Amino acid sequence: MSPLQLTAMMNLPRSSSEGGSGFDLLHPQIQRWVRQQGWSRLRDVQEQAIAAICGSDEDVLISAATAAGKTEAAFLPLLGASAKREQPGVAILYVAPLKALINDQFRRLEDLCDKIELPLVRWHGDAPQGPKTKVMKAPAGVVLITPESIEAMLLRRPATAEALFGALDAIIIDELHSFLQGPRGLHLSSLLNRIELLNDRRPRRVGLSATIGDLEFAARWLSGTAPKPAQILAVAGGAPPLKVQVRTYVEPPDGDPSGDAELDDPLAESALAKIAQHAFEALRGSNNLFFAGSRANVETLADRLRTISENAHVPNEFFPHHGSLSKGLREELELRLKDGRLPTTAVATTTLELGIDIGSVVAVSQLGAPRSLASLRQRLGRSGRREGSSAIFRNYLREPYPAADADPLDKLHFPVIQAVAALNLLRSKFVEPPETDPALLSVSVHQILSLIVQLGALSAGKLYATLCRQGPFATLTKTDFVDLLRGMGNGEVALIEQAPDGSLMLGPEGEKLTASRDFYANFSTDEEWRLVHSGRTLGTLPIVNALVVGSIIGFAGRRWRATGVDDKAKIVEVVPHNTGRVPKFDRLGQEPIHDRLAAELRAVLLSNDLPDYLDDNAKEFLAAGRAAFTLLGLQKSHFIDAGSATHVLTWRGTSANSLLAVLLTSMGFACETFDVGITLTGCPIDDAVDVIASLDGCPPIDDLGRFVENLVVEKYDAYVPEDLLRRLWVRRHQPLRGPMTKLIRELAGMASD
Amino acid sequence: MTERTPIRPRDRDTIVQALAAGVVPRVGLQHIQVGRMLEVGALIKDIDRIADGGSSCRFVIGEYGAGKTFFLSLVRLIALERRCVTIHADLAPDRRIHATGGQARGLYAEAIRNMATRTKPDGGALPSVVERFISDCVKVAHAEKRPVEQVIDERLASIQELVGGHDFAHVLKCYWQGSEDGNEALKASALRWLRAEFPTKTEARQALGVRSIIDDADVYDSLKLLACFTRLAGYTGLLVVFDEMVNIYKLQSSQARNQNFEQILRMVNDMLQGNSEGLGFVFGGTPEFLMDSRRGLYSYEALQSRLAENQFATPGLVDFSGPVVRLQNLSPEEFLILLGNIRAIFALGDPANHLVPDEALDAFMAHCSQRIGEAYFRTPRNTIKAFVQLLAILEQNPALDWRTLIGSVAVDDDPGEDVATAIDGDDELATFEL
Repeated sequence: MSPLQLTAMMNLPRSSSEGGSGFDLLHPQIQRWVRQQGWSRLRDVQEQAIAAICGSDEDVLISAATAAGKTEAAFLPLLGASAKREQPGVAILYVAPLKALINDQFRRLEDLCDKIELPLVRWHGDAPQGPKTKVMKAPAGVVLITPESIEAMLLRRPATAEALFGALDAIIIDELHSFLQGPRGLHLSSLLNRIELLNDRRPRRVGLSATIGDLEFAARWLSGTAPKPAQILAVAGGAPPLKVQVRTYVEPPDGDPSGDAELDDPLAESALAKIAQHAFEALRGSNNLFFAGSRANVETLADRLRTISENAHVPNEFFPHHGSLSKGLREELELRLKDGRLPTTAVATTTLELGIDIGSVVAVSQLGAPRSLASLRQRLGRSGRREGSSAIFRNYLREPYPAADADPLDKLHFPVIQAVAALNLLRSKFVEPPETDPALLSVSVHQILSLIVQLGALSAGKLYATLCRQGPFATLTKTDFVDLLRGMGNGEVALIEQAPDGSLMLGPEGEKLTASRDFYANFSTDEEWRLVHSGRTLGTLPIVNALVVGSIIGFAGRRWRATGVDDKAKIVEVVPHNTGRVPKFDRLGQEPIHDRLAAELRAVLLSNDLPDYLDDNAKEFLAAGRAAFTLLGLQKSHFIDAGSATHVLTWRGTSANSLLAVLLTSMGFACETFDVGITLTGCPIDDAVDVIASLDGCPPIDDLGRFVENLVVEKYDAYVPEDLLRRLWVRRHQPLRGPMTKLIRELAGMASD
Repeated sequence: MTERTPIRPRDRDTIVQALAAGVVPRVGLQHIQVGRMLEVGALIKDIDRIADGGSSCRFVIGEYGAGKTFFLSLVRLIALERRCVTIHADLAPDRRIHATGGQARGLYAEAIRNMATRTKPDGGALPSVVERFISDCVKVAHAEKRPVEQVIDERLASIQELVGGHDFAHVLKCYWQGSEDGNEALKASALRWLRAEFPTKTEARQALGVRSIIDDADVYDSLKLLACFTRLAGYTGLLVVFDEMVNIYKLQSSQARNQNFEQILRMVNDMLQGNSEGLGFVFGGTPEFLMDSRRGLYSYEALQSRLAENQFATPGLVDFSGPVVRLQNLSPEEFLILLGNIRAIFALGDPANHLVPDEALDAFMAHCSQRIGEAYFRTPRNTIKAFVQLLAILEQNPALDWRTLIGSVAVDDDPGEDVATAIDGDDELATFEL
């Protein structure tokens, strides 16, 4: 849009209606389109967006609820601005995490783009080839793309990338909140940077995001290298209704002591069996997602549901999805869900919430209380996408049978407490704030390889300047980078090698990796650890806490002590750790818990509120838990007497508890972590109190970091030198030192400073 | 080749500027060239063989900055003197010998653009070569009172037998047709086609009526056609020079590298067996391009056996019977002569105008030896650059004494092409080594 045109429009008399003047700033054809939609006025978010986007060249972050009209808010002014463009090249690049979302947007924008004669092209693995070929011949218009497709293009056809995206007017990033944390977000951050480098003039960025916690952080992330962070437009209201139900099921009195999945004892009527029965009735006939936490749970649940279907003589609609299944099986399920012709429910660990694309579903169910608000939002975002429908969430909780001699922790009934706490935080719009991402090194490895392929052999200095000039990667120091390169160039790793003139090129392993089609994506994995005792595999489970030699792990109803950890093979060697009674509640989970959620658990126990989304069982357990809380004197005390063991309630999240456990274990005390604290096994309460009192605050994180064994977490961490992984672990945990000291003092009953 | 032909003042400036920038001058190579008599001799033999209707293939291997490009320019000059046509191009990340994405066509197009003959040594000689052929045919046609087209067809009969020869001949006839009818556009299209600048067959068909274009897969065949054509046009043969072969070494896909090596193997086989007439290849590359066991020519087994150097040849005992020519480093004595040559250029060949005395040359070499060690004469590029800059200062400031300046001469370490890494000072990244 030429400045002259804008001035002319600004001089028009403002309409006197309260509809605002946004409409007047739009391109005439777009105005026509708006009228044709039958809209009497533009929505609030659209008015604000038009003013912001037309008013300056700067980046803009639009935060509003789903279905509030965000897409139009960005596209109406941007399309108008690019309509008169004569320069060859695509004008607007729109990036979204899901192909299904792109397909939806395509349908909405087709007509609009047609009106202003800008080509609109979907660019992802399933999109039709014809429009792609056309736009490659005559680059222009709007391209809708996923991060993985951008990566593929930069890798395989950098000349095409330059021809298409070398002169962009704007880049729109949708579902921005889903990119603020995790490897996929880091990946996108680097991709945006690389696209920017293809351009002479930096294209402005517009971010579309759900209503989330830290908008300032999001604005800074969006702006990358720009001198100013993006302008924030936060528009309230308009969230689709959410229907929630929390159902608690009790295990039979002498059921499997693990409370874990067991296969096919038809008489036992375990909690899982009852849950399966309810799910069968509630979910049949539509598309749904069921998140079951661990692979073992997924398998058992899916199997149970299949059996029920068979016994009822109806076709099975329930299928498992997790990392151990063959790619073929997983893709079969994904296709069936996407197809939409047959009702399908996917029973999954976590993989289905990340990037893997299956469109929207009717309801989302979860086994076990929510552990992360970011995750919960992500999952909820899958249902209720259609206009007018609500999002439906069913939380299935399992409680061990309330025996008189149950461990005191079980008496607090954490499952239902945690569910209520999570939903409280959901209502208050809390989301875990992003922190230095553990995936930073893994994605750096990935991007270094990708940059070498895209740009050819290049020097270490140029690599560093290109990758680390902006955003999250800028936190890597030159020393870090040099160590990373050395590790990658190590003879056994063979990812990169060096030419005599110093430039870095791919090594044999690097060539293999980059040639594979799996290389485009940087999703988190749902890796589980194998527990091995005397050569026998006990099972697999997800572990989110830091593992040191001596860590106590609860599994299959018993406690085990880690004697050896094989990080790369994901094996923990264990021996039984016999310490009497073991709490039965299910503490397996893929995600760590944030301090805020842990604190909210305490708040729920202290309050009297009885939410009506709880079923009768759940309500009972909530009341019982509160009663136990008072009985155990936990308003004042942090310690629970569990006979030969002591539970220490920190009311902090996973990182804090993890760190405390590392500290205590390194001092020779056997301790196990649970969600809101740690258990000192083999340590009666008086001794436990003494132990805590004897701690002199938190030692330097450096010292603690030495013990941590499970550093290889993300996709390419195995290629990073262990030293470097440890160094960044220490750096990430550095800010925890002060609060840890404070916590220790609090536990020791001293006044907090 | 140290003929003391007088240096023209205009050439002098060209030469000095080029040397000061660290590049090979377009003219006056004979004034600078020092040593390497045996290497030059070997290449002269090759050129003679080509001119005689034979074929040849050489790999000129030398470190970066050792004078490879200079040497290759010299070889081309000699070929031109022997009335060959030369074409040359540097490989680049987007220009290589085998490709499917247009990179081979790009190399070919660049090479044709640089086509040179003795009368047009600077490139762009394609139109004159074509003109020469056409006017020759016209002369014969007039003399024998036959239609020109018939003569052309007759002359091109041998070309038509080669792969792609039919369309090649057709395009040449279009050129003649264009010049007959005064149709400049048609002539231009014909030249475009010959330079492989048509991106699609459709466009070529619309412009010239041919069904094919010179694309990635046709590069080698087109070179053979071209060799045949130059002989028909009255020249003695075609010399093809491809420099910066290290770009193949730097390709990031082993599949791409191997495809390039396979193509090179084909060329080596054909040339060494004498399957082509009047065609010769010279490839310029660095030692790692030749020898790296994973990425270099030697990684391709068939090439390794053909190119393996004489096991009896040690430094001092040189063997030029094999395809690989190692550019021996200049000896300090040769380097001294080189400095003297540069001094002479500045003085336009007149010893009375020498800017510095002989002892200055010795002092300069001693200084370099101190600064960057005894390897200074192995990579002449930067040392020459520094010397030229020294002389330039002295020329513009006659009052200065060379003795004071020599001490402050700085010779850069050769960083290669990628100089644009604006990283500050003592940077572990700048000198990063795995």
